[in-house]
Amino acid sequence: MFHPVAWLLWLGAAVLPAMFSQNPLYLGIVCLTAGIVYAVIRRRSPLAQSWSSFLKLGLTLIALTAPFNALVVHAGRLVLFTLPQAWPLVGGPITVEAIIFGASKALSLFTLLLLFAVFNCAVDQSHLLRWTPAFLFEAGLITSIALTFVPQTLHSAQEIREAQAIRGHRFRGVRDLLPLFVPLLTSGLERAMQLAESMEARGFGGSLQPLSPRREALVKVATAMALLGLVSGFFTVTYFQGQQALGQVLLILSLIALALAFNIQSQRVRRTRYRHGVWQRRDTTLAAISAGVAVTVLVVRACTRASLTYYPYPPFSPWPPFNFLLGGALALLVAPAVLAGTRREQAQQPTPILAGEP
Amino acid sequence: MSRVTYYALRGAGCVMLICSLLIFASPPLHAQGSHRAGLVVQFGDGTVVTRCIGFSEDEISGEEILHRSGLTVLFDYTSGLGTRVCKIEADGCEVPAEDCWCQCQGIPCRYWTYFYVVDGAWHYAGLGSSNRTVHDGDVEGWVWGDGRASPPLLTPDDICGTGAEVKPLTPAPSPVPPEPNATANVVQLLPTPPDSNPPPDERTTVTATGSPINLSNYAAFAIIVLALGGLGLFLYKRMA
Repeated sequence: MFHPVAWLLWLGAAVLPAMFSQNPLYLGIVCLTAGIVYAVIRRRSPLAQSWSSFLKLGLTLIALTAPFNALVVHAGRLVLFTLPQAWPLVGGPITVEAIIFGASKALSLFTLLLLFAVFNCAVDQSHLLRWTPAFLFEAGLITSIALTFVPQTLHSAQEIREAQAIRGHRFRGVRDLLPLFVPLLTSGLERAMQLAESMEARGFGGSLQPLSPRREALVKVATAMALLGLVSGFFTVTYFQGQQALGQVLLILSLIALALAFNIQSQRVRRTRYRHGVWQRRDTTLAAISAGVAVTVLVVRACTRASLTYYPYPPFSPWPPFNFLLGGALALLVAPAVLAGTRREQAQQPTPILAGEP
Repeated sequence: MSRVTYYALRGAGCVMLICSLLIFASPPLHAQGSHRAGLVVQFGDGTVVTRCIGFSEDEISGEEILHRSGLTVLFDYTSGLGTRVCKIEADGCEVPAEDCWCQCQGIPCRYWTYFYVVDGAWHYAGLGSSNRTVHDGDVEGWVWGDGRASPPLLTPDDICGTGAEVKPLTPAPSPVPPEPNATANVVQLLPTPPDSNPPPDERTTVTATGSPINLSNYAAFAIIVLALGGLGLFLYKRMA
């Protein structure tokens, strides 16, 4: 449908308002766009089942957070009822403002969950893994093994369960799970051995360009020093306001050192591609729209932070502020649903990963 | 007895036990005439304002003392773990446009530090003002600083005057106490006390949003939502 990188850009743009704003109106618009995008892309994805569990988790969050906030924060003009003052922590007036604020805080978490659920449905993780930087190749490999390991384990657990059930075993309590766990463990170990053998057979690690020992030590020391410099630079900039310039120089220098070290590491890995992703015109459109929305949100936050935040407690109004232009910009996040085309078109178009088959 | 009934009865029993514990643990709530507490506020330029706050309850929170003082105070209620004092009169940070501790992002650090008097000496408060209970005769102090400087030490009599009648719920105009030893650096910052205790719901200050309800903004929101809903329906139909 879309290129994974275009989806990543869309996710990045949509996540920004959820992180910066607790304003329920803006969050509501983002949620609505996420829902529309999900409704349009749903049929294509095998991962669509995760959507409802994300939804349930988010609703539970709202149902827990709003009453909790109302119980512990006793500020506001619209008082519903008053608990006795002598009750520790919860005593005091229970206000509408506190409920609204708790709900809108939870709504921002809910929005994040929703966006990631849509992203999960839209992009296959294995396609995403192709885009891990080369210097992280080991981490990418481990992630891909882990990602395939969990479904495989669940599958074999299901198989063992069925086999035991056929033999007449009933799973009722914790103690009945032993006949499930022991075969699961042995089959998992067996699979790990198989994986190791197949990696060995395919010459895992052999494609790495060797570095001279001196150079390898240099890269390691440079990475460690750069990370140390990065941490101390951040610390200096945020904590010692007098030494801002020193901290910034430290930050820039360590970033350059880190980039150099990663570059050398990346050159060691040679990657060949059997299938190439295709970047289509609508990927460009989606990327441009996402970048526009992200820039708008960032500029608004940099200029007037108050227009994104929402603070219902006195002396401010409990009615959330709303800017038509910002709301309209957020509504553009519906772009993937519009650009996806009809179902027939989608069926005719090859998925990007398969397209470049030689 | 079925299992469901058993669990329901057990749950109800737990709730009743907790309720009865709370009721017995709570002290009797009868007003014992009028109490008074002193409030000392030291601003960044060194000026000190004192207030004598009368209250009819047995105990009130330190936050409530500030509410009743008549000073313009901005609170931050967003954390859920207690209230932060962000601004008193002109000193402090403008929430929500700024962080509540906007001048304490590193060194130097300045914020509204909270003190109270224990055994004739100032103590830096370990708890926030909403979690502290103030009793009759207590003195509360607020200093715009880094937490090392404490406000000038005053007794409730210095602040309220000896034997002066205390008007409950009224922000006492805090006549600068006549004792010369304590009032050397006590300056009356606000010459006219605010008009007789505005209740919290009538307190009017600058609002971030201008008018409380801006209907045209909400109409715009409704238009955007309706447009998105229509678009969503159209796209869904097209998919089917």
